[in-house]
Amino acid sequence: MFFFTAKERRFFIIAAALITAGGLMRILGWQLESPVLVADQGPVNINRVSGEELQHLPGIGPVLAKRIIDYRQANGNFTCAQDLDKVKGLGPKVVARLKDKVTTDGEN
Amino acid sequence: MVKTKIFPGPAVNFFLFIGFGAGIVSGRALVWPGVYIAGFFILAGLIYFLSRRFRTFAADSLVAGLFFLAGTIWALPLVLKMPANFLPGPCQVLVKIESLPKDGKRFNGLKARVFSIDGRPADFKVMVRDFSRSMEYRRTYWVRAFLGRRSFGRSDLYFLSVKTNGVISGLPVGFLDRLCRGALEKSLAVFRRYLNLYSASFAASVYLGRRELFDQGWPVFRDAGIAHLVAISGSNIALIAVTVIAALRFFYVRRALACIAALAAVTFYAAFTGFNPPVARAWVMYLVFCLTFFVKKPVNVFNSLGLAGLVCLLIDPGWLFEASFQLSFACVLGLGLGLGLFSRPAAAWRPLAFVRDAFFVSFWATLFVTPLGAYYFGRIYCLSVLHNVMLVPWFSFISVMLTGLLSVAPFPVLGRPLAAAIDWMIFLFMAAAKSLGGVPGTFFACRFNAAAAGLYYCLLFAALWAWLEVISGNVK
Repeated sequence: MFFFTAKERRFFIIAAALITAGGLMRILGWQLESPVLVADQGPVNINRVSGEELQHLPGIGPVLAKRIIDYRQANGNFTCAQDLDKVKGLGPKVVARLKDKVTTDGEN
Repeated sequence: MVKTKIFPGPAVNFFLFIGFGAGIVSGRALVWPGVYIAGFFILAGLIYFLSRRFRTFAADSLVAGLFFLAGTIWALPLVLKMPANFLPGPCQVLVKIESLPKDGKRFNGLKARVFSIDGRPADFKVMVRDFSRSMEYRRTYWVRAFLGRRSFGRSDLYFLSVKTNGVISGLPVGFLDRLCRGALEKSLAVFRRYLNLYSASFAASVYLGRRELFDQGWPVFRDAGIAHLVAISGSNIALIAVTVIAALRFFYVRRALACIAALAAVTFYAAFTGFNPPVARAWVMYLVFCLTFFVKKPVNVFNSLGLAGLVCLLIDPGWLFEASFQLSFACVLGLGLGLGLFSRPAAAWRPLAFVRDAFFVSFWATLFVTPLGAYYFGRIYCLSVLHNVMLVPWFSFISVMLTGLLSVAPFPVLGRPLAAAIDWMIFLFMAAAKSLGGVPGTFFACRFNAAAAGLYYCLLFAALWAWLEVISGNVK
């Protein structure tokens, strides 16, 4: 089948040992790992949050987040959640879905 | 020269891969970590002792045993993360969407991967019923959902129902995901702009890996025995690599540079289509091919196949239990063995040589994947060898034309006539596939169990071994 040189044999033994150690570390790692839910902390203030935080909202990707920020910078703060309707790409369906998840200064 | 070994040359990686794979199967079935770790140290000591004293063949063969034990330990986390541990019921799930949403009457259908359930790590695929209709391709979400299971044939299908207000939050999209999503959207836009709706769905399915957009075509491929063409696999990777190399060589770019450019293209394509097991296998094999090209050494198919297998199983040991992984490896093993061991009859005329090669490739691939097809899908295809000979070159030509269309998309003068030709090619291809699939006797229903599939492979290897004994003159 195959015959190894001393170097090859050493290489394969070390490789197998590393894989075994890696397997054990994976088990330990997953036991310790506990993913944390990032954002279930009430409504998001769309007049204050950054583009990245806006991306936590359902239906909002990087492009829409940027458009919301641009709109905010060009036209000032949103007065209510319904104002999101004026942002290009945000239709009434998305806005209706976001209503419970966002807030504005005016509403606070 | 008469070949005398089934696996010619130093196919070490292949045997180590077999050992590692067997270990993963064993580690998943029998959770005895203490035994495996103790066995590992005993075996390592034995190898050291034997190799110092006798330098025997046994010492080297035991290295495969060492990989077996490494495999058992590498597979243990699989047991911890099995979906059955979490069933059934409502839960809080971290899920990454891996397909485009498919509009249903009440919900969007999506494929996704689960990473965490109620704070416990998990790793498995699910079908998502998204009643909120807000989940997007390649985004990761925290959702409140119901996890359930249904059995289909020999495989379990897990599903996740996300209610209208079930999406809690979406995580920011990473750079690679954004890049892949952008590339997918741009490619889809090109196909939709130039091709008719049917052809655009076909192209999105077979070229971009978005099978969910071409449900109507799936039964046609399946009945004709060419279902492997719908999945993104090694053939796509090979086609991309060959197209890039040929295009660059046409402009007199140096071979080494063309190889590197093709590697970059193949890597991006693999990431873009989701890096599934057959693609990962083909990617590693292409990488090995490039490396051997640069160090000017011959490629050993079994060695690179074994290395690809080891890399795939190190990425995710769960792939070993996926049909796509098994089919891909069985297919390449069949091609390597069949084309390596048996000389093909000479053909003076070039097109005839092409047909001959297509036939042998198709024959050996079919011979090796038949038991897996019978095990997973309950079908044995009798005429698929001929169907593949007729349809695969045609399909490859369409794929190359689609690459061309993406390249000339900014120039409508070139794009429109090319798109018209592709529309016709796809129409004729699907018509031919439909006709061939309707031929009586194309396939018959037959379901293998694991023992029958194993017996088939034992008989196949015994037949190959006997053939080698005969041609090498050991049996008169």
